Formats: sequence, C-alpha cells, structure tokens
Amino acid sequence: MKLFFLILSYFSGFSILIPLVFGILKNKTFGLTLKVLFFYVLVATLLEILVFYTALQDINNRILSYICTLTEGVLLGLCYYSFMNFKFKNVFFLLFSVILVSTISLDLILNGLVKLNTLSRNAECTLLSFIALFYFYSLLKKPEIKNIFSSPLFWFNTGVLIYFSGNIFLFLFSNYLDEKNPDAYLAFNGIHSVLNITFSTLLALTFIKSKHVS
Amino acid sequence: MSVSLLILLGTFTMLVLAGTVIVFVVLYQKRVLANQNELAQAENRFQSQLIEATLLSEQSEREKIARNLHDDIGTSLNILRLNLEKIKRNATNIQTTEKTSDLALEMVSSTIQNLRMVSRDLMPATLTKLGLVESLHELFKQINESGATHIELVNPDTNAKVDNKTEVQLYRICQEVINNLLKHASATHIKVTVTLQSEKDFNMQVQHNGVKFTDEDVQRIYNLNKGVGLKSIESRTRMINASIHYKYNDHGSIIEIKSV
Repeated sequence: MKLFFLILSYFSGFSILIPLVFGILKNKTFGLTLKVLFFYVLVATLLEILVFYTALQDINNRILSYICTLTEGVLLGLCYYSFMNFKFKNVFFLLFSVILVSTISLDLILNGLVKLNTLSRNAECTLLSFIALFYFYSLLKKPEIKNIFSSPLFWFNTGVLIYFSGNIFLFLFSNYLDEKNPDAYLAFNGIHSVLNITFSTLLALTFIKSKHVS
Repeated sequence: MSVSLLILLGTFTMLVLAGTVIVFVVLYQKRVLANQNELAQAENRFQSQLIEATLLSEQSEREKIARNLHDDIGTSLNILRLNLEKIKRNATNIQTTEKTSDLALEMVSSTIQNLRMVSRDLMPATLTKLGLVESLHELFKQINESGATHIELVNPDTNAKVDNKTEVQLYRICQEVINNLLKHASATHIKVTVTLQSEKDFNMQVQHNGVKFTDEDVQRIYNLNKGVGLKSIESRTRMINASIHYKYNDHGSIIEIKSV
C-alpha cells in the first residue's frame, strides 16, 4: 500500500508536465491571464524538480513548501486580478497579499523549516477558494459566456475550487498527522495527490480551451 | 471522533460542496442563457411584426395617395384637357369659349384643392412651418368641425421643442391614435395633452371616454397576430425612443407616449 501511495505521489508531482506541454503548444493564443498562468506552471514545474531532487538527495526541502505557497498564491491571485472586475478589487487583492505574506512569516516563526507551513497553506487555500466562489457568483449574476465549457476561465476556476477547497482539511492537520500517525499521513497524501492530478488536468484543459488572445 | 475521520469527512464535505457549486453554476448558466435566447427570439418576432405593420401602413398610405392622384387629380386634369381642346376647336365661338373657360377654371381650382389635400396627407404644411402643437391644433379643428367627436388640446407652454423627426412621428402617432379611437372606441370626448420638456424629454397623453382599453388588451390583440394600426403606433414610438402604455382609471382610458 505504501508503494502505491509513493507511486501516486510521483505521478502527482510530475502531473504538472501535462499543463506544461499544452501550455507550450498553445502559448501563442494566450492573453494576459493565461500568460500569468503559464508562468505559474513553469515555476511549479521547477519547484517539483527541486522537490524531487532534494528528496532523492535526502536534503531538508521545507523551504520549497514556503516558496511554493508564496509563488502559487501570488501568481494565481494575479491571474484572478487580471480578469475579475468588482468594487474594491485593489483593496481585496492588497489584503490577499498582506494575509499571505503575514501567514508565511508567522509560519516561519512558529514552524520554522522543521514542520510544514500549515497556517499559510490554509490561508492560501481559504482565500483562493473564496475568490473562485466569488468568480462563480459573478458568473451567476451576469451570465456573459455563451458556452461555459468552452471558456478557459471556467476550467481554471473549477480546478482552483476543487484543489484548494479539497486540501483545506488535509493541510490543516498535516503537521499533526506527520507527527502522530505517519501511515495516515501517507494515505491522506494520496488524496492530495489525486486532487493535484485533477488540478493539473484542469489547468491543461484551460490551455487547450484557449482559442484566441483574450 | 478521530482526527483521521474528521479530515476525511471534512475533505469529502468540501469536495461535495465544490462539486455542487460547479454543477449549480453550469445548470443555472444554461437556464439563464436559454431564457435570454427565448426572450431575444420573442423580441425578434415582435420586431418583425412591427416592421410588417409599418410596411403595411405605408403601403396603405401610398395606395390612398395613388387613388387620390388617379381618381381626383388625374380625372380633373383629363377633363381640363378636354375643355382646353374644346376651346381650341371653338376659338371663334365666343359664347362657347367663355362657358368652357369658366368650367376649366373651376376644374383648376378643384384640382388645386385636391392637390393640397394630398400634400397635407403626405406632410402637413403647418408641421414644418409652425411645429407639432399648431399642426395638432389644425388637425383637431378639422375633426371637431365634422361633429363626430370633440377633441381638446392641452399644451403647457414650456418653450421646449423636439427635433423634426420626433415631431413628425408624434403627429403621425396622434393621427393614428385618434383614428383608432374614432373607429373602434366610440369616443365622444378626447383630451390630448402634449408636454415638451426638452429635446429628448416629451410626453403625450390621450385621454378619452370611449371603450376601456389597456396594455393587456393590446397584448391580447398582438397574440392573435392582429392590430396593424397598433403595431404601427408601437413601431413609430420605438423609432423616437419612447414607450407607449394603455391605461384605465376613473377618468377614463389613457394612452401615454413617453420618452425613455
């Protein structure tokens, strides 16, 4: 069983290559939002390679988790900033950045490089889930997209909502499980891997659905 | 409850909620778009009906003018030509020439009169010279003289003026409304109030004591695919960016044309 979860986690790590390939193939059609998203995929790929390498070399790679949270939060937040339009948008995204940076700093103080950055990861998950829900709400209020399945932003938002809302509880208790019940931690990591593969697939679909410069 | 179960339940709940939201958004979006599509189609159908009504109304106007030109003016000019030929043939006979000349002069006067009527039908001279209110005053004077009904014109003096296109359309709308009231509503007293606030802000109310007629009645007629006159009025109203409503209160029925 352990081997299964291990293989699943490798699949999860390398699933970022799916959107990367489609991003390379379709990047000429990208508008600003998808360009930022493609940049996020590039950074995520680099981080996954580093995680893989440090794990093989048995080097402490907790710092990568902080970098991942920061870049993921900032770049995905920028994606939303580029296409969403609402009152107090600037204030909201400023608050988003402040909360993200504050929780990362707090995590560095409280958990250091020994434990996982559960606080900042949870803040990131909650904030991004909230933005994703807000985007869907704005779609309900003003349905402008004729065929929702052909919209790249719909797939991107679906991916964000599934991945980040699904991971809230996993990240919240990851340090606790890592210490008290490593077997359960491995099993729950399996759920995270499935969500990660789903997210990567939906990001790839986002790039596939891009037809023209928006 | 163990932590593992809590995580499992929490994660499952979050995923179910996320899934529900996504499915709801997709279904709601589809339903709203289907409704919008249906509304757009209904509006298109109605627009086509309005265009058809306008074309029919124009066609009937043209037929009327053609009939006037052919039957009255054409006939008069033919008789005039015959008279002139008679004068030419009997140039030496002074008595016949005088008699025929008198007849010809009478014919010319009658033709001029007929031509004026046709011209007034096409575009009343007062409308271009003196504006909407004076033209309506003139129109109502003529109708009142017939004794069929009494029309009163109320115009709060605001010194405002609407553009020529709006004036012509408001005049035609009023003509059509009065025509409908005389034909279908048996109104014996009509009060027309024209309020021009500014170039784009105008209001025309036609109050009458005839048969009760409301927006619902109009809709019923539209649903039966009838009411060419009503559609023509609606079409003209839209042309000048205005709305029309048919209401009923204690004072009788009111037709209100208002800029939007």
